[in-house]
Amino acid sequence: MKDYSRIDHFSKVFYTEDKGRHRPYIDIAFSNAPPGQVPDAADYLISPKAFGLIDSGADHTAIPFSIGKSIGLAPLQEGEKTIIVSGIGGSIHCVERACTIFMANNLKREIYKFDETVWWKVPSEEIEQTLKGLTEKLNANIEPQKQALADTNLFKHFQVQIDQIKGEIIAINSTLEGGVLVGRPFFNNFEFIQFNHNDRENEHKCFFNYKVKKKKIAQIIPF
Amino acid sequence: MAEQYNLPADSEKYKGEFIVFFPDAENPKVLFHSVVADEAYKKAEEILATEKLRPTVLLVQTSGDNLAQLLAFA
Repeated sequence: MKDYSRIDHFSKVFYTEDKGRHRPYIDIAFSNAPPGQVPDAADYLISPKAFGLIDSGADHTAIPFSIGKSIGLAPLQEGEKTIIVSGIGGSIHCVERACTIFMANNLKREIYKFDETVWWKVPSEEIEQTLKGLTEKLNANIEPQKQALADTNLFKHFQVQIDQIKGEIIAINSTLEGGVLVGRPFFNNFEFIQFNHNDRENEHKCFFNYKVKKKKIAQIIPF
Repeated sequence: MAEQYNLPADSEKYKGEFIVFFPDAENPKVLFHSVVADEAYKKAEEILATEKLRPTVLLVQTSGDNLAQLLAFA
């Protein structure tokens, strides 16, 4: 039997459990590192690690608002047209941005850097201001609640306010977040991706293999 | 390191909140949670600085209506 672990840029990844379901994810992070260069890591921002849901049927790689914001992607410019994506449950606005994607190969203990573009879910200026205002209002209730004694009417008053504000923030977040979707263009960086999904009753045993094209990797970082 | 990376076992109780955790730990624990994304990302940076490991920030969905999947139909 061939020892695949000896193949360069190859990895085997088990499906990740999410609420009892197992799905194919890759360990991924995003950055504002400029394309075509290998700058020092201190010169750019890297997002926290994310679960990148593999969806080779999607036309784009999509990231939530909070990830793009955390790496300082250029905000929606005045007059800039957004891409409106409609589907089940409503519609969202996206903008396309150049973005570096880091993918971890845990088998090889290597991180690969790719120069890509992503669709970034963005709020309108009005929604962003609303979100900012709600956050300030939330903190304005949390701080005085800490001074109130538990089980008093004052404490409960603040709790009602806090719960209401949190509900409003959650409603907005639900339209801007969702997961990271790794779409078809990203797999141009691969020699192959091979799903071993042969038993729905035993999805925890399912896994996928991939091999990355060497020439598509902008940088390899050992870890 | 775990063979696969996973969510904390109690993540369900943080529905609607951003959680910060290490997904490749054997039994991931929620290290921080907030409905405010900026606070969760700030905490993740602090954890990275002290632990020298990059955590994950994830919004625990309130329902199965995940916009990532919605986009898949675009």
